[in-house]
Amino acid sequence: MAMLLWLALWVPPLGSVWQSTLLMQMLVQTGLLIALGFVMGWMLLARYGHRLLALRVWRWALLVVAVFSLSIWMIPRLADASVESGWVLMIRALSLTFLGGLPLCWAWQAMGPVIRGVLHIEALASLFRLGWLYLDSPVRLCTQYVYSDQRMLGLSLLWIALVYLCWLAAVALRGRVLWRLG
Amino acid sequence: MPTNVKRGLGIAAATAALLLAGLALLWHLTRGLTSFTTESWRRAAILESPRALPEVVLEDHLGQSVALRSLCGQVLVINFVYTHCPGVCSALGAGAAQLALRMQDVIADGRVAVLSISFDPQRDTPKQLARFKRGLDASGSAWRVLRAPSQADTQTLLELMGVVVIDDRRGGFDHNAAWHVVDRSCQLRRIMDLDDTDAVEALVRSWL
Repeated sequence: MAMLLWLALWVPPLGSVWQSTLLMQMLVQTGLLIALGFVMGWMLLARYGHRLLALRVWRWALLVVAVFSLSIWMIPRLADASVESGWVLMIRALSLTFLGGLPLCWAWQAMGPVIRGVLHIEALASLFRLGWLYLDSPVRLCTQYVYSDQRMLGLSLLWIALVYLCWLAAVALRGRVLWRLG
Repeated sequence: MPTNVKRGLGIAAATAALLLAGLALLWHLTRGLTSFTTESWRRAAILESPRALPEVVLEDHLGQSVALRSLCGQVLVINFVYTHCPGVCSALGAGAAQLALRMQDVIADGRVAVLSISFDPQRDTPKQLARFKRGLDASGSAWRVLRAPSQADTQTLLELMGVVVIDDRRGGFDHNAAWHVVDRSCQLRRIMDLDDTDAVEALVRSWL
């Protein structure tokens, strides 16, 4: 089922629907590909957890792979390339899911609260940076998409960052309240 | 050395190798962290490896056929337009007319040509091109407005120059507009910002 969903996210003709606008490609398609990888990682841990325990010592390596895989596909030129070439789209789908979401899940499970906190902060900062870049850039960053798409993506990223920030604040405050009550 | 220490060092080494590989890949994909967009990539690629103009036949606003490569021997300054463009292309055309006016001395003696080429040959007939030129070039400069009558030739030219034309979802097109500067041996050597006409003029004059 997960594999069918994964294929539906990029294989033509459905793949072109997910790439019809910059927002669809960078947020929806990218987000779903990563999330699918994360969920697959979770399912594998649930099923083969005892065999995958050995992965814990590789958590930093897994994190490095995940961070680079996710960062590289944020490059505007590669967003264009995945529209222009079916091969690039396939590599993108494979790497976002199996080199991004999946190792991120396994690394996340093995990381402590401090590192998780750092990752949250970095993700939040990236959302604000990218959002501002896409909203404020006076030139089109992706030649395959119109300028209005770019601004829409920027605005959406900033809104998501704001919601994420509120959620993090709520989690932090809840933790404090529980500590005080305890 | 104890086994767990050896193992730990091995994992650390593998992690460091992955980090280096990731950085190397990022470096390669961005030309040393200088090209994050398709536009900056194509400009850098042209700078590194100039491209020869293709054998395409154009038709100017007077209806005259011009083989693009017959213009070799001149420095060519080219931008791409379409005449039904609501706003931006008027600015592109006006910019080309002004540039032609500034370089009229070197255009008059056949050393330079300023061209605007339409990427919508179906709608941009010579009559339409002439109307476009008249509307933006009151001083009657030597700026030429052309099209490649064949859609295949238009596509060949756009691909070679790295110009990407997309539907703007408002009945028109969006494209990565710039000045394309071709040297006297018909090699596309530089792609420059549209508002950088001073730099374009300086470059062209330095190549004469």
